[in-house]
Amino acid sequence: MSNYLYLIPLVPFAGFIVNGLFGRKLGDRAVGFIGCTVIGLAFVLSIAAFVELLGYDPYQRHIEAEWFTWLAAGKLQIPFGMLLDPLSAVMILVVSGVSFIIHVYSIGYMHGDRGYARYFAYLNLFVFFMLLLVLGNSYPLMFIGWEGVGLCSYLLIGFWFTDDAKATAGKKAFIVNRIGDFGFLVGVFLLFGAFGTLTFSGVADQVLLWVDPKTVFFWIGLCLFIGAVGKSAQIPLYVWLPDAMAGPTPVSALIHAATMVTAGVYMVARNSFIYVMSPGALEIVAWVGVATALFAATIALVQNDIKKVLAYSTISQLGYMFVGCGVGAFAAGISHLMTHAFFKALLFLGAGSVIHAVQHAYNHTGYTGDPQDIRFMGGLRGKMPTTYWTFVAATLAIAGVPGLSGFFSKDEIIWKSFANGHSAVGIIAMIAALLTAFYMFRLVYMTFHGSWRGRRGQEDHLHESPGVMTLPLTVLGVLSIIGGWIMIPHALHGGAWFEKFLEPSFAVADEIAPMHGSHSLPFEYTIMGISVLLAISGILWARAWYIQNPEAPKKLASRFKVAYQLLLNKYYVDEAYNFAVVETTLGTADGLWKFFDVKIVDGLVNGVAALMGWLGSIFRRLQTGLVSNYALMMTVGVVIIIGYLVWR
Amino acid sequence: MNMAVDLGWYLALAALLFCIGVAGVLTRRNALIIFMSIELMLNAVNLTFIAFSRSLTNVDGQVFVFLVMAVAAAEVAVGLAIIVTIFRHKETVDIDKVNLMKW
Amino acid sequence: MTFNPSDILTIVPEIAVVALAMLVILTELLITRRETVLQLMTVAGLLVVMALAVLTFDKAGGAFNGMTAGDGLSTFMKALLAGIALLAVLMSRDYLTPPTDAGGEGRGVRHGEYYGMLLIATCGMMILVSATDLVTVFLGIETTSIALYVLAGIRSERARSGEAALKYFLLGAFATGFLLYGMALLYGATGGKTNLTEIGRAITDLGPDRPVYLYMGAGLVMIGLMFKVAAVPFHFWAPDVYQGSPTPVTAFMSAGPKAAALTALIRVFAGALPDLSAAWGPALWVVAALTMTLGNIVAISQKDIKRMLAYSSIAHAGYLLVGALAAANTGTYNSATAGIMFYLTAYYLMNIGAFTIAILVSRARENGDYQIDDYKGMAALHPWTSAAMALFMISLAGIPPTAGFFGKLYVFSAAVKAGYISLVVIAVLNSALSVFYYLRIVVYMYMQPEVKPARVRMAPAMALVIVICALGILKFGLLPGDLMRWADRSASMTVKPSPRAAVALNDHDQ
Repeated sequence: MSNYLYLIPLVPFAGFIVNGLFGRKLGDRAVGFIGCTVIGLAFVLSIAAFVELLGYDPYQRHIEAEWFTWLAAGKLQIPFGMLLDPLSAVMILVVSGVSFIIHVYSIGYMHGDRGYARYFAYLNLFVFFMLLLVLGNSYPLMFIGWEGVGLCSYLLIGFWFTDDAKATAGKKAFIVNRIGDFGFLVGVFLLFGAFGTLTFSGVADQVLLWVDPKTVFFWIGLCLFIGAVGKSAQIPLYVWLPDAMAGPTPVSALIHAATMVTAGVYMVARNSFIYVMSPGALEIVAWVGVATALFAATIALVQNDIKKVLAYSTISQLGYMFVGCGVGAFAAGISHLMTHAFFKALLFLGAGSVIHAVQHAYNHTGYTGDPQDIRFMGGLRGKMPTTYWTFVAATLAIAGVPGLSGFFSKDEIIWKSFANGHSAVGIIAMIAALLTAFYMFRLVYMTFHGSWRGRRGQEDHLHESPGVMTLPLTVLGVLSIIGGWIMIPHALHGGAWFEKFLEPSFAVADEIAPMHGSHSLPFEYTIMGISVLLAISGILWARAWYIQNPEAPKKLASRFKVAYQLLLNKYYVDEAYNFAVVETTLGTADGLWKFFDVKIVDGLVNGVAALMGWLGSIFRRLQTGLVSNYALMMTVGVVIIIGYLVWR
Repeated sequence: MNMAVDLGWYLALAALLFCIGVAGVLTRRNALIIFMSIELMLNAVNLTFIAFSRSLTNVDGQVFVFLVMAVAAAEVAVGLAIIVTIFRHKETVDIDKVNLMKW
Repeated sequence: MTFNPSDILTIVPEIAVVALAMLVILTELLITRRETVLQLMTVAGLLVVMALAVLTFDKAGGAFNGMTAGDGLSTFMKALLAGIALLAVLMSRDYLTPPTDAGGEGRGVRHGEYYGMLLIATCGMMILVSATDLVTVFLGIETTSIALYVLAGIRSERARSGEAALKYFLLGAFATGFLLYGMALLYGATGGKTNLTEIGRAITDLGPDRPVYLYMGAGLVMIGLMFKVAAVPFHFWAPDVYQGSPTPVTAFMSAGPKAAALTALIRVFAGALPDLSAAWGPALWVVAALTMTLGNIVAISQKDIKRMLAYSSIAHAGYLLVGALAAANTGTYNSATAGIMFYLTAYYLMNIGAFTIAILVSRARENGDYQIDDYKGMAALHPWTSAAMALFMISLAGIPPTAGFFGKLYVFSAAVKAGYISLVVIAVLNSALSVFYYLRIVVYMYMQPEVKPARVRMAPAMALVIVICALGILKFGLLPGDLMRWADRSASMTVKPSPRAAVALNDHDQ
């Protein structure tokens, strides 16, 4: 039964093989066709799987198809199997669907690039790993997907590697992620130590019967969450995501907004049964999430690079998803994951369309500026109507305007925070929502409204992107608007269908720790009303500053210069990291100089690597090349070991 | 005859020999002398084996000693060849002059 | 003390290897010096040895009055060692006969002698992995070492090769002194026992009043084995010797003796010294942690790929020691032992693959250097070779889906089970650290403009080695089940330490 489940990841993998091995010989047309077709097929298969799942009773919706015993040795029994339940069904639909749209868009965006075949091969490989991540029925399988998407992300960020900074950004992403992966791996080891099995259902069964002390759950939850923090760019490991914008824009849309970065949220949701056993771990998830949501939103207020604004916005929205999970409303977190995939992918693709057009105009006027700086844009509304209207739809959705997808999912998270007794978290999330509405509309106004602020004559060369790019925008635009209608809450006389659909996936968690949240309707309406009010005031605030009185922000910036600089420079976190690592570990001026020399002069952003390289250059001096020194060192070792053994 | 006291003396002598060997390896710079010091260490080991063997009236230790001696002879053959090779390259057997590879 | 003729069966692989060595040396002396003949002979012979090793499996039990064991652990390791020798032989010929226009690398080496020495070293390691007596442990180590001293210096025309041999020889003999002294003290302290199981029993019988020199003996034996494994602080010989030796020998040395010495370490500590685990456990813990950390940190700052791989090999020895500690301290041959077997197989494939490509790249340079810079921009010129190298590096770094990842997963999860959580945390952090220098090669190959393109000339035998290694890594990375099952079965069919020792151990279990 459901034997085609394997095909869902395997079909994109086949695309990777064909495009990777024969891509150059096939020609661009064939490569694009194959690349899109395999993802389309995966999407069709996902729909089939979803439909099949709907045919079951809600609590029977758990299909585990084990292909073969993958690893079997002693106590370690790991099947190679796929797990289809409501949670993974949603994930494969979102992943394959959004991927398909972005693949189509890429045909236009990457047109004429030298690495066209390589690009599609990597992208197909990414989809393979991502689908494996969400479909795998065990931790090791998930980890393979987890590492695989990281590898693809790294390859795609550094796609235009001739540019040194971009290759460096790729490296930074990879290495920061390794810190998270380390947490994940330790978590998996602890899981194996505690339960002796590594499949999700196997662990879930044992959790239900657990009688021993629960501290182990705290540590497992924390370690896994470290993994999620790295992959989903939360405080303090978010630093890689803004740099990751160096990759091609569709990559940012797919990997760094819609899918890969949400893997952490998926993982926390998948482990809901672990987290509910440890309120402490959940508390950490919620607070890290909300802190990130607010923190990243404040940085986004003043960024001038169109993709940087969206990057910080992504970090902030991911924070919301963790808030949802952290307050025990896993379904709400996943809802936001889905709607965010729609509108954020759309925003990035729209931004890509804008960058494409501006770059085109720059090329025609022989100007070599940064095509992503919104200070030199404006008035694009008339030039590219489709891009504009879809962008506005997505912006309204992310701002939380009622009726659009983002409203339902975000409001659900905020409401659940209050309902489940995390009022402080809820209030901070509301403030972040206000900021979100403001910075997103600032972006819209500066990019599309007003008049062109670039060089004169350039505006004549601006025009709408080709159909292969605008069609995906339109599809995503429609999804951004209607995507939330399946989650209309009871309070608004909706069916909360989505939440109900997901419920079985969190049944174990619910059994262990049912959430007795508040059900007061007036309270819910109040929260909802405040949210809407905040969203609208954010929009009006942006309008007041960037349309009606454009001098106001500048005045404010010069008045609160310190605060402005702090935000503009992203709280100097990158700098602080470097400084902290150096200051605490080396503590000498000489080390500081060496470190910065390596870091800045050589362009190695990689702080730890430099530090370790430095340590290595010290320790290698032990290796003098002289036999007598080696013999002496060995003798010292002998004396220490024997001394220890005798006088222990 | 008090075996226990006797054994102690033998062991102490062997330990002393062993330490002299180690000290020789650490302080000398001539590869040949170092090699001789290592042989001294091996002989200290042999003495220990024999002493135990005699005190425990168990011949296994003596068999072990024969094997050690045989292996040591093989080591001498290879070791001297290696030292000769080094001498051909460097015209010296001072091990402080042998440090092409380091760090 | 009886001689049982069927005992011979358990040492058939050793006999075959020695016979092969004699045959190759004599063929070169008396019949022909044609390199192809000699190589083919050795390869064919080693395949037979591998088959023999596998065929003698299932005959678990001791032999020669407990001097050696013909059990799962030893047969697995013998097959592995024959495999290591096989790939080393395959990559050697093109190394020893350089292309005519290149420098004099490898000239003047007699192939037959070289293969003969390699085979004798292999025989020594085979003795070591099946040794269950101090005498056989000593003989195994020495047979291996003496052959390796010769191999390290076999390119006597090059100063570095001679220097490697001298360093290896002097320090190796020095370490042998400590090892033997330890054996002598153990012999005395246990009332004249040399058999590992009997030593274990004798120590249990001693009860709480153990003589001081028992501990000294245990410590010195540990040190002697540590030297072979190249664990900190007894690792100093390794980088210099690895760098100076002929590269196929380096590849052989970094995989084979390490595997053999680790097996001996497990046998000695689980078999003979479980009662003293409270003493050596913490010492081994610290050594393991130091070994992986130092290896990784120093590897980052290397510029020569052979030296980098040498330090990387030290780091891997550290990971393996984590497993060895778990295997030895749980007293039974369990999943940790199986994990080590898996890890060693994976390590051997990725390491030999990496060294083979290192030879190819260095051959493309007039000066025959091994600079890491030579890999810049290689991918554009040699996509397949670069892809293989990237695979080896990813596997060495322990990133899935490669064999290296499962080796780590298997060893570390066994160590967690045995209660060494903090050590595993250190190990995982270390393997995250190791990504820096492994990934640097990948970055150089794929993301750097080429400086001076290295035109690699592929030789068929080299290509074969690379393909075997790459396919093996992928196979064991994607479908590790078979190998794991085999390792597990081998581990379970291993001569058990004495039951009393195992019972007593439970009191010391962490």
